[in-house]
Amino acid sequence: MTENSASKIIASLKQFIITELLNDESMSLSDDQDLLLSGLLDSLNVIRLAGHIESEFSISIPPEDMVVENFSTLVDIDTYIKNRTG
Amino acid sequence: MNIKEIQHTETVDYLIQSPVEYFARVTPNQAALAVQGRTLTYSELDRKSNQLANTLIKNGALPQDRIGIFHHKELELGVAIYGALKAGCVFVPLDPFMPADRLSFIINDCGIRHIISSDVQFKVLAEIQDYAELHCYGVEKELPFDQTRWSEIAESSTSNPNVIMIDQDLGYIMYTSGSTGVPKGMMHTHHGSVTYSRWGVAYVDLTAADKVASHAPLHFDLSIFDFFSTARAGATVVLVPEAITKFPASWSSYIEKEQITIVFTVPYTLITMLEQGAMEKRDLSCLRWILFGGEPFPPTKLRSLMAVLNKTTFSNIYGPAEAPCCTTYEVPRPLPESDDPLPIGIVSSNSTDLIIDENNNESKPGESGELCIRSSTLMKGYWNRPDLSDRAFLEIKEPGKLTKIFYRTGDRVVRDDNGQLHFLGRIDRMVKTRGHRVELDEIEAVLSDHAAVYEFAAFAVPDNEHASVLIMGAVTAKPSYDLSVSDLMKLARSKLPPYAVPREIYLLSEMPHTSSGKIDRRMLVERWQKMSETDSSL
Repeated sequence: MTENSASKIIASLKQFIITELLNDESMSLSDDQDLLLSGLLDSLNVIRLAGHIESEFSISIPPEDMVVENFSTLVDIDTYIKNRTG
Repeated sequence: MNIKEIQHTETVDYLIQSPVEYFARVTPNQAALAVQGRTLTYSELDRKSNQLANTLIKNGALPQDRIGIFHHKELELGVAIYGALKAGCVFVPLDPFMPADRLSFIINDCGIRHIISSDVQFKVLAEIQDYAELHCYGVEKELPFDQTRWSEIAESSTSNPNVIMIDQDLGYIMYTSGSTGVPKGMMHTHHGSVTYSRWGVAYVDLTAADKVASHAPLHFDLSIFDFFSTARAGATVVLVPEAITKFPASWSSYIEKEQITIVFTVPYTLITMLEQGAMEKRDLSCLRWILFGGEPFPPTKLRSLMAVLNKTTFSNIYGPAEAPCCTTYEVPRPLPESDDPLPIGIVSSNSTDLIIDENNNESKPGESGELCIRSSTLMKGYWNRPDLSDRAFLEIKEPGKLTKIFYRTGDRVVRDDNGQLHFLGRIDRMVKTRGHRVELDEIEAVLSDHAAVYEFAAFAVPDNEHASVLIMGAVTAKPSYDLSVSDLMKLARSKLPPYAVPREIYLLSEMPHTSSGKIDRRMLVERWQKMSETDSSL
């Protein structure tokens, strides 16, 4: 997978988080911002985000992959999706 | 009036912090706190909190001053709690995820002049309004107000400041959702907290070998058991970082890795662990007791969890934060094959209960009514809100006898033939979502403030998957105003804690009303359910 498509993944996730989960289009999110410690995503949003990733990228995320290490930042999620689809 | 109090300073055991001082001498190298492999021993915790207490005193903190704790789950959190207490002060847990507006409100409402925090909270701290008198501890980055860093605190004396206090003094003030649109602070004494923590030690037979998870946030009263019952046994509090609480598989892995023996949490946490926690890949035989409360636990899910954790004891613990651990019910093994909700059990030791009807008379046997509790753990009232306190308490006066003060829980219950209490619902509009108390009236008060809002209604819909509820909003716009849902969401996020922010807000052309002209919230719930089944609009 190329760099270009990697940033496409991040852009699409960002769009989903801002418009669907947080419903606040004025919000800015950086790629390495901690999504969990900052309180941006609560546990229900994490589940919705995982559901979105599963349908958007046609992968199924097993429970043991639903861990902090894979979801802390947009970069982490991007890496996880690349590992699963690449 | 300035008075000079005298106190003998020999060892005492009636304050929240007494056990830490005791175990710092008896088992100095035992871990008091642990988080992700890092630990703080009783000796270190005692010395570091003495240093913080001495620093607070040096900066003008007087006995019974309120000290804000705005901190995520880290070792410093323990130092912050005991540092505040040792200075004779009252600690005020502040939800680390609350927005700056709400934080500013509580700081002003409670008269907080000292706040202990960290760089993680920097962004919100920097947005605090009216900080003229505020002094912040533990933040490295430059703030627009006075601050002291940990490196400076570490230069203070490690000896106990021995501030004069008795167990009737306040130990902590915990803020919760208020129906008038602003949060209210419950005042708790050392005595109440020590009673609660002693109950905890006895109930689960805590010993120094136990590792008790601190999963609930500090501003949630389960944390009083986590921190203070554990300290009373000289055991270890294992802090669960906030990020881990959001991932059931990380949470189950953490229990195994840290060999946690006791967990006190809400059903939501346990249900998600059962369903998404990869439990078949974990060895959780370390867990000897799970206490749950805050919401009813559906028996079918509990039965499945008890089958997986087949050696663990389970107890249903009921009690509002105003009067913690009112009643207990140890879940029998095997759990009877019935889908009836579990009882909340019988009233704890050192407490009594009373069920009253709408005329404040005792309900007849077998009839439902509002549960009232008289307990040593009872709060002293709401901070600065005697009006709310008056409504919360029920005074029973009998000639020639001391007046008995009960707390009105607002919960409707019934007592069965075996003496067990059963929770039937609320008598007001408070709901529980994933264990958090939310007043729907508070959400409505906050969002009705928006200039373009004509009517706003908050309502709770069932979240069957997680045995909880989700909060929704419906709104109509004032004629000729342009109302954006995204604007309203922003307002909600700036004023309310994250769990109280509606999941969705539906913009309606007309609000449903009852024949008496009130907003028909029941109709909104029905319409929402129909909508989710048929994919139509609200």
